[in-house]
Amino acid sequence: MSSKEEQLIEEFEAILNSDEDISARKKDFEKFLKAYKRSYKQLNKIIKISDKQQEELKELSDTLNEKSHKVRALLDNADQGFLSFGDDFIIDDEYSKECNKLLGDHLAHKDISDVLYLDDNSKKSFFKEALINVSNEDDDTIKSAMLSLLPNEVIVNRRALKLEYKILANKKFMVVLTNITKEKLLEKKIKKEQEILKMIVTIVSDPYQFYDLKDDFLKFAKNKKNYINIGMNFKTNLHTIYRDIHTFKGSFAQLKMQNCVKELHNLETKLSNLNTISDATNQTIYDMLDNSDMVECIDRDLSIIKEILGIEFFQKQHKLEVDDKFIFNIEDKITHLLHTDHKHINTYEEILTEITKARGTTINQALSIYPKMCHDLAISLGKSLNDFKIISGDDILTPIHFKPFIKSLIHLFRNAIDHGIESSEDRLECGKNEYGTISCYIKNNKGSFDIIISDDGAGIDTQKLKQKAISSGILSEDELSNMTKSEVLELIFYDSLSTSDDITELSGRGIGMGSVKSELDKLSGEIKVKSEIGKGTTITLTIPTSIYGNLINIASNNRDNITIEYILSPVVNRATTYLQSDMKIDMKNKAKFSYVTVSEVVLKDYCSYIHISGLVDVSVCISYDSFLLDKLLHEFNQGHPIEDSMILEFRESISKEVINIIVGNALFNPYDNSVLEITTPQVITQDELMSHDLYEKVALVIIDIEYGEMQILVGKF
Amino acid sequence: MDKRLNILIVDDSLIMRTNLVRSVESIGHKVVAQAKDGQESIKFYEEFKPDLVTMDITMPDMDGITALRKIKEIDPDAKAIMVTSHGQEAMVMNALKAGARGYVLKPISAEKLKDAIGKVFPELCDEESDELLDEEW
Repeated sequence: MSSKEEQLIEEFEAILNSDEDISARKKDFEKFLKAYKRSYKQLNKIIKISDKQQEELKELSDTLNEKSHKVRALLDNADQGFLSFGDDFIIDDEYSKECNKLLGDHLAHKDISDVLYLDDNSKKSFFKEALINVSNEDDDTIKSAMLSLLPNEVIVNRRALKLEYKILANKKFMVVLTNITKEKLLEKKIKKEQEILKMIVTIVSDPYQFYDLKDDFLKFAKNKKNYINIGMNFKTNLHTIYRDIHTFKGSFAQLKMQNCVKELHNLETKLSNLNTISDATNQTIYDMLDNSDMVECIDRDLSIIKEILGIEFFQKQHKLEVDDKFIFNIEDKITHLLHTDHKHINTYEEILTEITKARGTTINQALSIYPKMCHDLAISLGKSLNDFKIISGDDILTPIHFKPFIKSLIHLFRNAIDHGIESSEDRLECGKNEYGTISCYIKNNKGSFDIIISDDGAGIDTQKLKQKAISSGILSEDELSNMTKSEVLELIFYDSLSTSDDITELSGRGIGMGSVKSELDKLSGEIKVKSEIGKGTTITLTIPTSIYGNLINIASNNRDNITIEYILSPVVNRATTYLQSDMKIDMKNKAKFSYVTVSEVVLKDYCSYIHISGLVDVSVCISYDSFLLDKLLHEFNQGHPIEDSMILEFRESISKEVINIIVGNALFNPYDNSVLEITTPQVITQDELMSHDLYEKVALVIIDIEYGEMQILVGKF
Repeated sequence: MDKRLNILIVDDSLIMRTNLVRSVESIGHKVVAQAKDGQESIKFYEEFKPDLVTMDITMPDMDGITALRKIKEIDPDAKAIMVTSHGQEAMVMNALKAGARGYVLKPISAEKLKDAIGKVFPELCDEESDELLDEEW
């Protein structure tokens, strides 16, 4: 209201209070009314504007809230902690959720240096000083240089955190925290592994330095008389032994054997602490060393070396490296004498035998791959197996032509683990040890040697063997009744016997034994099988040896058979489990196995094949009776019906998909790193099959089920 | 899983495609297309832009890994799970190098598929693991 109007109000108030005649002041009154109305309008306008502003304010406030929520959502979902503080180092209210996880609850209003450094006052004051300096600095370059001096890693609550600093307006700072614990742990792991690697490389480059140091230290450690010299006083003895250990520590450091160095360092510290004991005597030194097992100091590194390089590395210590030229020279000279000096011919033969032994590989070495292989195989088959070693008395030379036979032994081991050793649960139920045992002994006889492989598994059921022999027409009941148990057991090596990978019925050996027998025959060897149901099986292979005289003749190089069986076994295994477990089709009979020529093969109604290349070169072909195929289709399609018009297409599709799954799965063999490639499945007809070499041998397996037969062919076609 | 993924199925086997469609739908996702070879898979990828591809490795003409590479040229963010009957190391390596996000061994169950998809789209299932330093730190 203007002062004029105020004046008018005063005047009118005065008039109303007096008896003056109001009519004379009518004009003034009208003026006043106008002025009042004007004011009133303005007031209304102001109120409207005020209301509008209130609304706008609310809108802004809402928008601000929304934005604030969005920013908060961003911050809280970032895996990093964001917080800010001013030059008072008190953490602001607004910080991201991750900060709570990394630094604790209720961080607002706490001092950041307390939170990061707890009780470490020197770190706290450095932190604060540095930040104050940054605040006071104007030059940006210097500012960032100073920031880079601040600690960028800190350990809080057993987590390693990375810290990044940002300068905000108004002399505020923001810290971004990132959890780098995983990375740190990984770094540590890598560093450890690199150190081990350095150690191994250093040792392998000069093994004799390692062997000598190891022997010297062990000699020193084990001989307690070394600890003190009775003739010397305490101080001299302490000094001497400290110096000795210090020297060893240096030598181990050269070989990068860190754990040894650490342990010996601890020992040094203990020794030097004895200096502070006032009434220490020679006996004190002796007691202390007697109680700390020095041999243990080098245990850890030795076991790492053993694990990586194998125990053979330690055994190599006693081996010489010799140019085989020298050995051949000696052999030649002795052979010459053998032919010229007949008086001493026996001696020369003996010498030659020894030399040839030194030169060649031994049976022991040839079999040495099996323990690890069995270990890996057991794991992949879900069996528990004790570790085992090849045990032999002497070293027996392996002539080169023994190699195929040694390789065929893979089947014996495989079968022992697959069919012999039962699962842990089954073994425990029978009262056996959870871990199965396989053992392999080599026994040297005069003129021959034995390889004895045994397992403490389920044993072979001779009754079932006999039944099968009868049903496949190999032997008659009469002939069988006259056979001894061991003769019956030898039937497992017959190619044409219906053997099976069905472990529920014939709880014993599977396919592959045939190749062992055939290789053994080529070496004029013999085989004996001992088995007891529930107890286990022992197979003894006897091979005659000779260095001079009769050369053992190998008729044909039968590597092909081994290749086919190598593929056949896992494929038939997988086919069987596929039918039983995946397709839930019961197998009433065992798989029938035989070798035929291509000309004798009659494919069934539907057939697909896959070619395998790489280290082997074979094809696998699976054909089905149509009733069986329809059953497979039904199961695969989970019972859903198929339109009649599509039936043929679906049958072809399933015929190919089943072989794809079976062969693909079968070749996925964790213990075998060989690279094998398989083609996409193709349909094959009888005519197409017959266009191949008709005399080519193929392995034929028939799996007979109530819905029909599945025929598996493996061979080179 | 809350979100429904659009999935492109690639396999040269008719029965496998039929089976996969059923499995995918049973775990709540949608099959936008089925391709029967590498060429088709590239064409359908461009057309339907699925969230995920299940790719059979062994196919005639163009194998799954080659097809995946070509799809990655179109869309570097393409996500694929390889499907095959054998898991040889060299092949796994090739598949991963080509950009595959996961790997399933045939025969495939809805369960296996769900797990594999869960690894590629972890936001669809909740999991958290926190590692701590040991005392000597």
